[in-house]
Amino acid sequence: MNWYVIGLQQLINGLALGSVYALIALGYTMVYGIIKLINFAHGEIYMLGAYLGFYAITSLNLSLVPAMVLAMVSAAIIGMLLERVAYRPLRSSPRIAVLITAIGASLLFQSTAQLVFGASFKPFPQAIPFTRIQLGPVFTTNRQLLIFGVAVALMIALHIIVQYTTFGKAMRAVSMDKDAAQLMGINIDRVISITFALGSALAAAAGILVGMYYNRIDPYMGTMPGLKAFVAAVLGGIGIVPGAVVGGLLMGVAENMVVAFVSSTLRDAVAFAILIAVLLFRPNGLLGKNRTEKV
Amino acid sequence: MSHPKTKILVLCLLMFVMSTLAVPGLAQEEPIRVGLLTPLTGAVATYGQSVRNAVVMGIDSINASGGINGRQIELIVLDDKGDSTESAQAARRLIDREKVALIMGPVITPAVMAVAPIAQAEGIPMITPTGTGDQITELGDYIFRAAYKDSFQGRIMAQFAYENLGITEASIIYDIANDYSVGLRGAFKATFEELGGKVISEESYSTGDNDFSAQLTSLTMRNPQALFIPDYYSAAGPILMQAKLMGMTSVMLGVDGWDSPDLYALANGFEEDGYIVNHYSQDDESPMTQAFIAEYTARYGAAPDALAALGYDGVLIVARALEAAGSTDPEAIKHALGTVKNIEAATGTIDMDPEGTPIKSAVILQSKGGSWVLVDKIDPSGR
Repeated sequence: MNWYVIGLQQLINGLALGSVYALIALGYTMVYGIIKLINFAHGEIYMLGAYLGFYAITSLNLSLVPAMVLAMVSAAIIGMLLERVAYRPLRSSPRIAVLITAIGASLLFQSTAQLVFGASFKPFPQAIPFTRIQLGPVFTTNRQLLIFGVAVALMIALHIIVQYTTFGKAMRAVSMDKDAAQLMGINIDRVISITFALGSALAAAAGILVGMYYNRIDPYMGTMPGLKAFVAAVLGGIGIVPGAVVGGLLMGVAENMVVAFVSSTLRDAVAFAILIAVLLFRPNGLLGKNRTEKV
Repeated sequence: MSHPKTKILVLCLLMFVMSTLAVPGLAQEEPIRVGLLTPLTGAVATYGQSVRNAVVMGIDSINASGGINGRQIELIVLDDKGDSTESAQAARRLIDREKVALIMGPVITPAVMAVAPIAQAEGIPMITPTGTGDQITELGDYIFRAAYKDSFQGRIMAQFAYENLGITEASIIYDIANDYSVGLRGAFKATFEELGGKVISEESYSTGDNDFSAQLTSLTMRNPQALFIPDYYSAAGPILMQAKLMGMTSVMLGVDGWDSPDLYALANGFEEDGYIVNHYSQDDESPMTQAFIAEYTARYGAAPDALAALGYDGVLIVARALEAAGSTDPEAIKHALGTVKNIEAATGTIDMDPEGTPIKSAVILQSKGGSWVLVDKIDPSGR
């Protein structure tokens, strides 16, 4: 088998995995862009999304699309509640306090999920049949296309919301200057709340897609993808929406290429080494602007 | 208004006095306390549930028939989630607070590796019904097991693949973060290459990964005749599914870790035709095995997997050893555990060995329509 065929095949796998990272990374980056908080509980929202989808399909007998909508809406509510209960009271506290709260919230979600859903691995219901699609020497599957397609659609929807709606304008204003935005009559509590809702809904969608793709969910499934998506967000430039997409896809493809051409043992190590290398040369991430501090 | 309160107080006092009187009245010795560490939740939960069910069943029947030398066995079950740290903490609790005479468990190799040094240091005999990692019994003379070793299991699978299936080129995918998986990969590879076969490619992942597409793509490109997947069902299931969906046509080879009712759902039917090495087969016609299967099925409504059979055997070994020791002296129990012979158990006749590992047979099973069918039985010498 030629090396470029392997490369092409791994590129396809990498894009599917990367679009999941991108969906999660968007939540990190939006929240950071607005309140400069790294929401470490975000990976757990992704996990909860997978479980909500699981129960929507198995207990409520919904098909994939309604189950996904239901899970996204529920996750959005959980995200808003999280912000309201855990982060809003600390908004004027030092950033480290909120960060520690976020880590606490993450552990709380994990342990609660373990208590409520059980710690066992659950096989995800196979809501759609499997088909393999041959593209010359390489192939893709309908699931990979679904992941990629849904991810792209949701990212386009987010882009439209952020760039072309009044709410998006308010969001961008809050991200630029919270106080000035408030003076202009923007209800910043509401903007922050909705930002959490949007990010959480995207993470829930990623959770369901991943559950279905890998056929397995568990209460700790959010930890590693959460961390990698965070890396992806930083890689692309944290706080910048297209950066999260670029970072996510790059991480997914890089991981697969490492397995193909280096060694599967080094997969995670190389992914993080890329992050360090990029940050050495572009401290604000790939799409970040180099801002000089004014004294 | 103090009247009813006084009444209750008097009643309590009366009950207390009666209970203190009742104990010597029964004239029974206090029970032997045995601890069981088993994962009832977590990534290997079905193992722990099977072991717990079988151990409880075994101990109930011993107690019903009069106990050990007239003493009942009291079982203390703790859930270790299959996690090494939790398992070590639970072991400390069994030793320090529960004052057990003997520990059964833990179930999976990494957890056993964490608990064994504690049991050894405290001088508490311990027997893992199911831990197969080679290093386990090298951790001390108080450490025993009811299962075979991974070097034996890996060798059996390599021999079966090379000699019976005629496979000369195989690939391996294994969990680099798990002693069990790493040990099996080593044993399989060594025997397979010694026989003249060739391991043409190897890929690894880490515990908890769920995306294997990159590794499997690389493996599929080399088109091996067989793929050896030495891991627990929670990883083997998704690997099997992803491999088959990728169009891999290799013969799938597995180990005892695949044996779980959850494998079928996780592999989504793609485990069909795969081979595993296991501790026992439900098709085994020996009366002891069939009696165990019948009793377990009647009690729990599902056929016992190998983990259950090993848990049951663990109880039989413990019972015989406690009987032979004649007391709960750790030194005596340790000696007995290493010397009891000819135990008619669910997985065959067991002879214990002072080294800690019993001398026993293994089976090769093939997956057919959601159950395991006996293909071959291999005696302890490895044929």
